[in-house]
Amino acid sequence: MRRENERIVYRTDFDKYVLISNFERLGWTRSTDEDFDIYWASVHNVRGLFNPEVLSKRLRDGQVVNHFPNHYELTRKDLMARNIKRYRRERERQEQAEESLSSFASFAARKKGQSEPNLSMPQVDRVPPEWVPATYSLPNDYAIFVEEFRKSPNSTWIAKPTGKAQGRGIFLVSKLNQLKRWSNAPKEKNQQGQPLPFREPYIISRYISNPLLVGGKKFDMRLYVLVTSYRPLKVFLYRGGFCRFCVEQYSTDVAEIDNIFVHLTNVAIQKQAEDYNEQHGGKWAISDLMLFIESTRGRAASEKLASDMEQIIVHTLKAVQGIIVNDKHCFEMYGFDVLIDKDLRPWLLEVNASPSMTTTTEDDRLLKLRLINDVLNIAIQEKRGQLEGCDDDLILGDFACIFDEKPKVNLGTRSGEDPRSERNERSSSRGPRRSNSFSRTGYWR
Amino acid sequence: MIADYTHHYSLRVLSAEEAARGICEWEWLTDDVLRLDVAEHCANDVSYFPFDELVEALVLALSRDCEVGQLCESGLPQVPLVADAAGALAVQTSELREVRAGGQAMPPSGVVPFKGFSNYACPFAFLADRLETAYPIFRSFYCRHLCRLHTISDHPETLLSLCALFEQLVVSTAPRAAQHLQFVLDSSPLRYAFHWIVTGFVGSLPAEEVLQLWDRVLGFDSVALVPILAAAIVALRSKLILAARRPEEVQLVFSDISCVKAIPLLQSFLFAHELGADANWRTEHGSVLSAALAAKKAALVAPILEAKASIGEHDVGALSRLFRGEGPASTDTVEILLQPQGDCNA
Repeated sequence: MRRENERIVYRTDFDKYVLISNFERLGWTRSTDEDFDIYWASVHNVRGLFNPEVLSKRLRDGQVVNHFPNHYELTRKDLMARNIKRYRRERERQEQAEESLSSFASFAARKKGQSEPNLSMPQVDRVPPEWVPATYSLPNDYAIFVEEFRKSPNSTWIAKPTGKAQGRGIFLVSKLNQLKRWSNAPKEKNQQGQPLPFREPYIISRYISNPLLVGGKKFDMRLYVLVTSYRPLKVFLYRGGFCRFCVEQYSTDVAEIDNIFVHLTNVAIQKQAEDYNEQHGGKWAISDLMLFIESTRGRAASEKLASDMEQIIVHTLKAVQGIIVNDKHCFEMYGFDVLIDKDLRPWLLEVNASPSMTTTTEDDRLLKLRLINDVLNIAIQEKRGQLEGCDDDLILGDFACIFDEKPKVNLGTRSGEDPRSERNERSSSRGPRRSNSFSRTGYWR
Repeated sequence: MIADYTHHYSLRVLSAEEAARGICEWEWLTDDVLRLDVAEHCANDVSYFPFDELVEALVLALSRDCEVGQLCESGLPQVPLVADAAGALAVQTSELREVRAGGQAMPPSGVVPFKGFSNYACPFAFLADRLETAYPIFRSFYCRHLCRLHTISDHPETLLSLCALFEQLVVSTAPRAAQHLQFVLDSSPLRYAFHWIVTGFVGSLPAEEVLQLWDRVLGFDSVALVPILAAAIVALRSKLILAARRPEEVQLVFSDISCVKAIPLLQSFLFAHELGADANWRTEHGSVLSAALAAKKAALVAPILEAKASIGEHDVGALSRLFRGEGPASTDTVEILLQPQGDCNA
């Protein structure tokens, strides 16, 4: 990847081993100011970088940074839920319109005695069924939430602070009065120690109380997703994702509702549990999960799950495709947190802009080292336009390109061809490059 | 753990349910040994740790299962520990069924656990998520095949003859590596591969590879495939072994086989000359496996494979499915293949 005599300068806000180790191995030099080729920034500094009022900090050509300016549209829990909800509504309306158009066209064709045209959307582009649990903002949506809560009396809800990470401040709610924890909480203080006028913003979502259990324990999945461009959308998925297990057996017992070791899968939390094991750190390879599902429920089920997971990743990104500022200097590596329920349906819990680079076990360290290596490889080459139509495993490493909206070069059509069939052909070839990267028969080894 | 269990099995499986129930009712001396073993191996393993409770239940249930001693086709793995009527522990050299009259075997199955014993149950945790489903499969497979891996006797295909097969295969396919280990490093290939053979590769190969290998053991109805694979791995790494100068370096060669693909390796090791020019099995001499060498190897392996010539109709269908690589055997396939052939050793 390094051209001869090329000196790449990096800047980083994190002194994490997996980052520094990769930079040094590549022979890059470190900088602490505006003179850099690639900047692994914190979300805080990125805000300053793209601040339109500070022109001096504008990025030059060829500089690359690891966040998009308004990534929070995706990475803030409340904005993500809102954007996806809006996207689903729009797509469903669109699909309904297309279906009625298609059925009208069939009807018309049949009347004329012609064969029915094929205007149906390829299956891959259909928006999947709901994949984010119903979410409300507090305090703004409090009234609507209460109404919804009353409609389903036996439901459990989970309240999370919008601005915090690592499971801090999360609690479960099965009775309305339990919300007092939020409403009565001491008000946040600003830097001068004066209480802010607002309570800390929270979201409250329907809790998925029937998660898929392995060995009786709840887990969620951390998937690494690399986006190098939003328009056209290009998405890479890392096959080294892992499951994060709870130490304690899962229970829907009301008495255990406050037991964070049963319900919250964040590693930061499980680490404090008495039975936390440092050998494996509660982290289980997704390939093992797929083996388990294939063995207990059949290959079709595991392949469908893999495909469903890819779908929700792609559609989540499509939901914000229109509003993210598609700055050409930017790429981003997200940490998608996905939960699977008993019916093998994936649910998106949140998207992290700065997935943790801390490592807890030997395997974890190796995984993240390779992850960063692959991210740097792909990001730099993508930004230099060196990856046109490239399928080379050597470059992609453990990533697989699961969606590429860039139109392929068309070598010209034969004249006299039915324009409609040509349109169909193009629409299917314009579609995402499907590669089932979790499928065990494919990429997941 | 003991959920509603409607079964259509024969009487022999009744003791499985009783054994499972027995976990709650009685404590045996060996229970703590098994629990410790699970905590040391399964609970620390990156692939098996979610299943530690199920694995513990499986081995505890097996240890309470009185029929295991009789079902083991190659006899009891070792001399049983027996407590006489007064409760004192005594070692007897008689068969388990004679012991019954006078004393109680400890544990009831007659199989004394050893370090790493719980490894046998680990792969079964992938196949079923409940004890009731997983235990019959585990028990049958253990009694038919796995027990041989730690049985020391003159029965065919028990540990001693398996190790002998391994050594003969290594000597014929990687003689220089074997000699190098023997004379230069004062060691032997068996010293490093023994662990693989006894555990059936659990903990050394990834879970999926172990399951695929055990599928073939099921299909060939022979546990000899375990030492054969071990020999194939030694032959595969013979060049690395020859390059090793110190014991630590040899240890390194054998320590990580997680990237080995068991079935392609086995197929090319066993059937290279039949598969033709595309599947050249290169010996350390760099030449294609000669017909003579192949014949020699086949001569070692053939008696085992040919003895299983009498396979029923069910088995053929199941075998072909297994060899088409259609994933781990389903519970149905396993049940069919594990029907006892002829009388049990009763």
